[in-house]
Amino acid sequence: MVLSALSIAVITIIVCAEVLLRSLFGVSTLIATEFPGYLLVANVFLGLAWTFRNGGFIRVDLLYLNFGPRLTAFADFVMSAVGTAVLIIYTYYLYWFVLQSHATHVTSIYVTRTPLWIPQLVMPVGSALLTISVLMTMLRAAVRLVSADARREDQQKNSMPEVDSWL
Amino acid sequence: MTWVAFSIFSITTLVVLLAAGTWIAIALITTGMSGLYLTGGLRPLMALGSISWNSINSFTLSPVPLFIVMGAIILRCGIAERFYQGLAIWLRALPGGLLQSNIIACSVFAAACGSSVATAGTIGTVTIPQLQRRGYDNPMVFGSLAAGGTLGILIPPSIVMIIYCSIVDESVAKLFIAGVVPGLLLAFLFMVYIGVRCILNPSLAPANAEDQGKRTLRSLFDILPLFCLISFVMGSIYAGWATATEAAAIGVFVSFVIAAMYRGLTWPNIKLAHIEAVRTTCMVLFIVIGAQVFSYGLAYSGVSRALTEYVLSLELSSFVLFLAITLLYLVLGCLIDGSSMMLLTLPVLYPIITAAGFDLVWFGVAVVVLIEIGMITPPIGLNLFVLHGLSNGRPFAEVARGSLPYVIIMLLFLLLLWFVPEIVLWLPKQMAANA
Repeated sequence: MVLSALSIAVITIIVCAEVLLRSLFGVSTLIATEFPGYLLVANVFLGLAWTFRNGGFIRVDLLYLNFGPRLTAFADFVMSAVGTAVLIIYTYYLYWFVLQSHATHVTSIYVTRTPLWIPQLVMPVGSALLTISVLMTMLRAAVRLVSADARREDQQKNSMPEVDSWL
Repeated sequence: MTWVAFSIFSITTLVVLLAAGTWIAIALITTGMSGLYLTGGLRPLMALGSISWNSINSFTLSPVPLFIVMGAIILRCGIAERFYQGLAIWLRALPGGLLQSNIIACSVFAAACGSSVATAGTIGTVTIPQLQRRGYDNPMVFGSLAAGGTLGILIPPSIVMIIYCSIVDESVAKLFIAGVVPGLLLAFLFMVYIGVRCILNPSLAPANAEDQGKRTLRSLFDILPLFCLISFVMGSIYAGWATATEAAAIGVFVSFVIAAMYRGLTWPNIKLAHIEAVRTTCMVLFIVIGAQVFSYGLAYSGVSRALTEYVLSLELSSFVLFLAITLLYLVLGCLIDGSSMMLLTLPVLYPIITAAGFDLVWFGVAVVVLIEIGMITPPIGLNLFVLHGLSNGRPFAEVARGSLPYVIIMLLFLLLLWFVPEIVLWLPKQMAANA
């Protein structure tokens, strides 16, 4: 939830920066081409874990919804186990990427010469948080798998807005 | 590994993961990464960081959250009902009466809020009870709403288009402008269809004496803001004043002004709009990362090149190729939702269509129309589900049956686009001439 609030704030900052800086003082902003990109990266990666926990990641649920409770728990377990493994590797390489970019002092090509590792840092952080969330899902699925009372985990239990697809 | 073995491996992995219900983004990353590892060991994995960074830190994608905020604000500020009523007064004289206002209301509203599903839902909530009370034919009502709603992703601003552009490296502004004429034309075709049906069988849309609201300035005032918003956003892109991102930011600002006018600019609304933006942006853009990783896997292992060469060696005419792609999307559209379908297939299709000489802007519009079709074909048609939920207990089959004619219209429309590509390409050319 802290994360979500953070991401919302980040988006709001994007919007405000865009609207104010560009439409009012359009001529003078030197950061407006470069910062929305960084903020977007931050928005996406820091929102990942929260979106995941709220069932925001879409899946093809044609078969999945017809699974029995046992099979659902099993599928959840295997999927999130695979997901966790892959995400650990993925996070590791994101971390490595940021280290590289820190070590070689890569800067942006824009006027600000922002050292790129700063905006890039959110990637491993967000990805690590997502990994933890997926790991939690795996543990919960494991619990459901071994416990006699295997109920379907209700991913949508958090009261999310009704309107879902923006596509 | 040969490329054939490798593609079989990738497709099997992907299909198994997806069928088991794995989150699409994670399925794509898993397939891409395992493919990379199998062909090149750990070395190619080092590119993961820069792939992720470069695919999100792009000027192309930055309008996505902004347009969602704009849409969500418009959606909640209470303009929908007034807009529809205002429009209904002006369009009553046309054959088909309020059905025609369904199409126009949906296409304008969908363009402004950018979500087909939300549009069908919002306009549907307002209109379905009214139309049922007046004895309009149920399938016609559902069909017009379902089809009208899908126009939102063709008439810009459209998030699906932005995502397409980020994958194939096209200019968002150009694709937006290219969507205008086909979008309007398709809306017009829908209206012609309704008109003809209703002239042939007036009982589908009974005239009603109680609708004698006046064509007042008041009703005009309810219609204008949304038209202004869209023309503002699109106009600034067309005239070359603003990039897509800037236009989106202006759009957010204008939507705040409109919401304030309708007393809908409340803190909960703003907060919800941002929450939705976070959620949708994260979901889609993480799939974009997945698609890019997958795409890199395909390219690194040589599948892209080999497959492209293979398809070209078949010497299919481009029309046959196009038919095959259409068929693929029609089948997938029944199973997966639109944008995921596009992101799953584009890594494979992109090199092929480029090599076969398709115009990427034209192809983008065609893909968007195919996605629209996917939204209103059962069993997985998001628009159909939403409308069914609002239908006051009418059977799902009635909703699906009402939408079927529009599927046929869209397929014919695709054929028209094929034979007259200028429908898509004319306006962007004009823009280039202006700039």
